[in-house]
Amino acid sequence: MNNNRFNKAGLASLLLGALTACAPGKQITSEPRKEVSYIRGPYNAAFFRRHGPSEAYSAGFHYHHGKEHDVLVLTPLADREKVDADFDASVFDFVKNQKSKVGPNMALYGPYTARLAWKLFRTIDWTHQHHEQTYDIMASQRVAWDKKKEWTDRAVKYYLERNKDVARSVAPLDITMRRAATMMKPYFTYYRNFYPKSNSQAWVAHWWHPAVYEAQMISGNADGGQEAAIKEVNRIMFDEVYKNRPQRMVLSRELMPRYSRMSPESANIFDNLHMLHGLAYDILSYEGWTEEQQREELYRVIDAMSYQPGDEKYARKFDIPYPDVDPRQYPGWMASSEGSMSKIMKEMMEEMMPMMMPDISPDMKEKVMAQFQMKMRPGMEPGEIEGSLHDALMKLMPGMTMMPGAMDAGKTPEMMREMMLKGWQEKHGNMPDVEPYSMQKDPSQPAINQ
Amino acid sequence: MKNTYKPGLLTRSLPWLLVLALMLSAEMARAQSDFMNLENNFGVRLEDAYATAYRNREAQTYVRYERDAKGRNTTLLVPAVEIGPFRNTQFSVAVPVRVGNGDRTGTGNIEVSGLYNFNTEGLYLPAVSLAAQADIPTGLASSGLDYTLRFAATKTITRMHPTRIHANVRYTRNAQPSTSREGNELITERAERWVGIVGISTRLAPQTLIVVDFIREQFRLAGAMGNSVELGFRRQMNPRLVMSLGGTAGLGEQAPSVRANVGLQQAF
Repeated sequence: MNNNRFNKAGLASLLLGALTACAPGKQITSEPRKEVSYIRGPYNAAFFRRHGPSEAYSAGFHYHHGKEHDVLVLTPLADREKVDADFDASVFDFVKNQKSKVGPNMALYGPYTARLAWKLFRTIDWTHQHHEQTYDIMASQRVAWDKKKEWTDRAVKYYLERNKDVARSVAPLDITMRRAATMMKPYFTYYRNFYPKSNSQAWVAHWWHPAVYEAQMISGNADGGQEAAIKEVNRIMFDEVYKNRPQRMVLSRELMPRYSRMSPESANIFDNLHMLHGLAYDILSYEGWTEEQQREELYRVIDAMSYQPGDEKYARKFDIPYPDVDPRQYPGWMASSEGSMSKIMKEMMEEMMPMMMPDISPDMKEKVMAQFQMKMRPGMEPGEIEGSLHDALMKLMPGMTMMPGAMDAGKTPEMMREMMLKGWQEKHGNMPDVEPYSMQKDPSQPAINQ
Repeated sequence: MKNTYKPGLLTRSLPWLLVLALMLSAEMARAQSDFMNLENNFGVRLEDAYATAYRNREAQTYVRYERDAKGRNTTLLVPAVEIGPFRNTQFSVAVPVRVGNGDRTGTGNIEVSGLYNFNTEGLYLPAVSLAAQADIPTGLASSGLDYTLRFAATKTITRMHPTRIHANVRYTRNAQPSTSREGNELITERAERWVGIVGISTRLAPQTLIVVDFIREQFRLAGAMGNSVELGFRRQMNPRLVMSLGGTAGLGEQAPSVRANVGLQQAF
């Protein structure tokens, strides 16, 4: 071989061969990457510097969020018991032992789903980035207490404007869940029913995140305050919450009422992302669709729950059931399956029933609602019909009327959606806005309530 | 142009001292980087097909020590600024500074480059990008505007682990190739040259990536070409800082016998 000749054709063949070695010739899809960086401010990375161990716990939760996509889409439902137990143990190990000091993006632990449905990961990473911003603002002593809201509003504005197609809505979950109209989809409740341990890992994470915001809210800017409060939150996570995991997704309004009043937009974005996690896991664990259909449905849900101009007017439309909650405690109501989330679901169920089951008898309605309640709780209970909520209701009422699009991937059951949104308007349309929260006085940390 | 410059100990050590100072100040760093993204010359020369994020900005620097096939030593310090002015697009400006008794051609040039990423990878389609670089001849023994075109492709090859293969092809056009005498030998620069790199990267630990690649390239001087292999590591030091380390071993007589590389990328 002549050493001075550069074999361009050979090199090109080598590269092409390497690139196509894994391409079986199927229909291929690709998307623009469209990553956007975070907004700069004096607070950037303050949470990492001030609350390093908590950043590591958060990284563990994001390990769960990223990897779970691949676990569900790449393992058979038939193996769910072992998959669920193994993954639960893996996540606990990652969290407890602080395996990563910095939060991973979704693709780091979900590389398959990153290629299957990149827009899903854009949505999640962009929203995680927003919440890093808001944690940083709260943690930063460079941001005066009475300027926290101003900086938070700036971060919300940036979040909504710079990545419009993936930004989550600032409207409460009551509205976005109705817009998504997923309850009668064939996958709904799959994740919580078939992977209860992994699902409860997510619900521990969704307890921890608002608990940390609220710990910041009651502690103020002074040295030692946030550190002590968050340390206590972390202690009860391992001593109490992991041992008696939440049986529902705790909402911002329940566990971080002060923060939700200060920035309802950010709080709603937070809840909307957490619900998206659950829906994505439902969709990816459902084996009745192809991967292309799963992607279609994921993208439909992402769009349905995205920010829409005018959503601001709904931002404060929620109640505050526990206005004085102490995030350093774990009372029974936090672990219960009953709460604001189950209230939203029950309302939606009752709004759909007249359309799907116009002639339902009182006796059958009782049975339907009993199944509904069981389906909302994680795992399978005695008497619970296996499968999704849709599967259970169809078994009880085979003649149930299904709306057009209800069962199809990527299709919205418009009539159902409109009926539910009308239901919300009638019930809650005139509710007063939740009161703003004063940030004028930097709080001192109160003693733990006995 | 024969190089007779003999740097002192302080001059030779300066690039490494600068990197050390940056590493020591890392705890105070603020901004964002991503250890999974491969950047040209940070750890290794292999790059992936992705641009930095829109609206991101990074201060970057790397230091590379090189012992060439004739036993001469050169240390290269390259401070750079990289920004994401548009979606899927990055621009950077760098000024390489070379010290040592090796080939210092181009030291003080201003390198301006842009990269556009066409797509994120799909299940079967790799991510691809094109980049262009212009070397403005403000430096030592440089004349004419040289340019380089770079193609990069990236594809994940495993299902549940981020193991990716990458392929790079680079073409450089020397606007004004020069001829010089070294002893009794006339040395002529190539008018154009090609570089091909293939490599693989994977997550080694939650914050650490390992990368291995193979390079086949034509060197600046006519008639010289060779192969080398590289091993590199990239680590996310904190949410905003990535540090990279790498080493290169030349294969054959004409490739540099050894290279070592330390890089820092600090978002601001």
